[in-house]
Amino acid sequence: MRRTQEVWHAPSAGFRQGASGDGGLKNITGINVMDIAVLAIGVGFFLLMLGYVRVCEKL
Amino acid sequence: MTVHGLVQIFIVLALALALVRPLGGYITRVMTGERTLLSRVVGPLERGLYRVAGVDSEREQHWTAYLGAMLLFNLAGFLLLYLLQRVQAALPLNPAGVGNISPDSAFNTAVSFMTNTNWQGYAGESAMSYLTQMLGMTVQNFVSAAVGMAGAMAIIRGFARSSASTVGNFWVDLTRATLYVLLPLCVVGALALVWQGTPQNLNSYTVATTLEGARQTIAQGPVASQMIIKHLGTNGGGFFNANSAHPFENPTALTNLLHLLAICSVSFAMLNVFGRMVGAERHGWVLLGVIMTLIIAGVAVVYWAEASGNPLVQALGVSGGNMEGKETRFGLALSSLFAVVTTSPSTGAVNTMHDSLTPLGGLVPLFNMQLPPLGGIGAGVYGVLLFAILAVFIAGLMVGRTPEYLGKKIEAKEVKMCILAVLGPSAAILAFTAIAVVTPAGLAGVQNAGPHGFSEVLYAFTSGANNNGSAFAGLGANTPFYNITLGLAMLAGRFLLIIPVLAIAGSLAARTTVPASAGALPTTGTLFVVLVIGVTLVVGGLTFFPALALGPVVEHFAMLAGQTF
Repeated sequence: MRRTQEVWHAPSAGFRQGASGDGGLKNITGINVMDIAVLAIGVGFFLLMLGYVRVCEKL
Repeated sequence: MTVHGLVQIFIVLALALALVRPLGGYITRVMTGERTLLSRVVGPLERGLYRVAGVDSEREQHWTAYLGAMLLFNLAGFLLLYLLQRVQAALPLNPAGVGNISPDSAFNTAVSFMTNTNWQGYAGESAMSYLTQMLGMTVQNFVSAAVGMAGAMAIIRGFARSSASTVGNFWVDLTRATLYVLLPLCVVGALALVWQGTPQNLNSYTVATTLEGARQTIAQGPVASQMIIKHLGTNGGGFFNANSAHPFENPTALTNLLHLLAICSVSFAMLNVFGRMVGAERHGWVLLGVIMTLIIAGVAVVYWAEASGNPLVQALGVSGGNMEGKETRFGLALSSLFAVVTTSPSTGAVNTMHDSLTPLGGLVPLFNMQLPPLGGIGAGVYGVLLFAILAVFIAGLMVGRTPEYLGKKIEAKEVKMCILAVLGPSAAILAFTAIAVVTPAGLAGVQNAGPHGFSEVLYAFTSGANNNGSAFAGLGANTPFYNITLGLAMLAGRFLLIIPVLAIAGSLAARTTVPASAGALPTTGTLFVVLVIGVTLVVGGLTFFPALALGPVVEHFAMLAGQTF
């Protein structure tokens, strides 16, 4: 139990940036173009699929 | 090939089949709202969730509303998992102090786990915090599997109902599949894995000094809870990079058996659910016969190819089969069985490195994935049903039989939707592979020359678009190009399949069930099993044979001629 509690608090020692990390949203001071781009792709795809549902309904 | 190995394979498959009826009966009772052993415990939680979410569990949905709810739920899952990865460094339960995931990798992983594909461009132990693994990956493992089961239930109701305007309630199906089926089985399964040595803790990684004096960081964490749903939900995403080959994920021969049974159990049982709900279990057994035949044939080829080994290696005086990339504790037989089982029911976990399989051994998992999923927990049910519908239609054209299945006339609408469901993911695989092998960004990730390098790319997009998620390895896929193109392939593979399937569900549910006519093709015998297998192989073969010829087929002949890549 004690060890688990230590683990819970471990991150407070300071955050490291991982090999693939760019600081994430935490360090963003302006617009992160890549975040917006990939979210737009994701949300856009779902909107496209709503249209595809209509196509399948009509066929 | 040894008798010992064949007996092991037989025992695993026999145990998997023994679970079909008990599990199928239980899942049927759950999904039709009957009381079960767990109703007293889980019922209040279920009703509480409906109250909190404002769901009227008695109100059923038209297929478009059912699909709308599914899309909305998946979109929310995608956004939450994306956000979690992007800010994980600032959140608790991160003893290794890993940083935030880059946007393209977070996009890929969010799509991957939301769609039940579980392709992993990252190494779990070095990239993800425990919170992301538990709240992100494991939760999506549960709910994406439940979404698949919901989709399967919708099409099953399409066949089972007559003149109905609804196919069920998505929120109810999602909740019941999670609370009554997946969670209880996973609690029991996770405890069994812990008993066998799989870690389940929140400890920091252990730094050990080896006998040679080197320092080694031993990763651990809440592994068992993710392992069991990874298999039961036919997800496949590992806690560790080495997946089920890692000694913590899969420490013993017994855990290997549990992994294989978990993959097969619910996914096979769902076909029994189909049989029960359409009024005759034998319809489910026929479809399971199709899947089992393909699995047994696949295992025979892979086991034979791996046991035969690489003649170029044997010429150097190394006897025995091809053990490269395999765990000695599993051996050739169970590695071959795992490679086939994980790519037929669309799981994607691996206990052997598929990149190291012989060319023909690698061809089988690749081809398995190129067929629509056969035997997965959700996609596997509607995958095999699509081919059953196509088989009925083609038989009607060939021998003048009335195209009907289970008392439902198969008309133009169903056939058009079947074709869309088959073409959508296939087009995504071939188009993205073609783009990857002619662009510098795509070629930059390929780490082997010639046909083997081509196979790596083809395997990646096949795995992504057809809901599997296993990797051939040898491809540097954690790049913006592959993260985004594979993400798009996964989205296309999931939704270009599930949308036409639900359209079929709605169309069939609305149709009146009629008694089978004398002119209808019998759909409960061996002839129908052979016909469905034939249609499956012909459609898959015609679509992918040219690509397979450029990859594993030419690599096999090159190997025989003395050339490796």
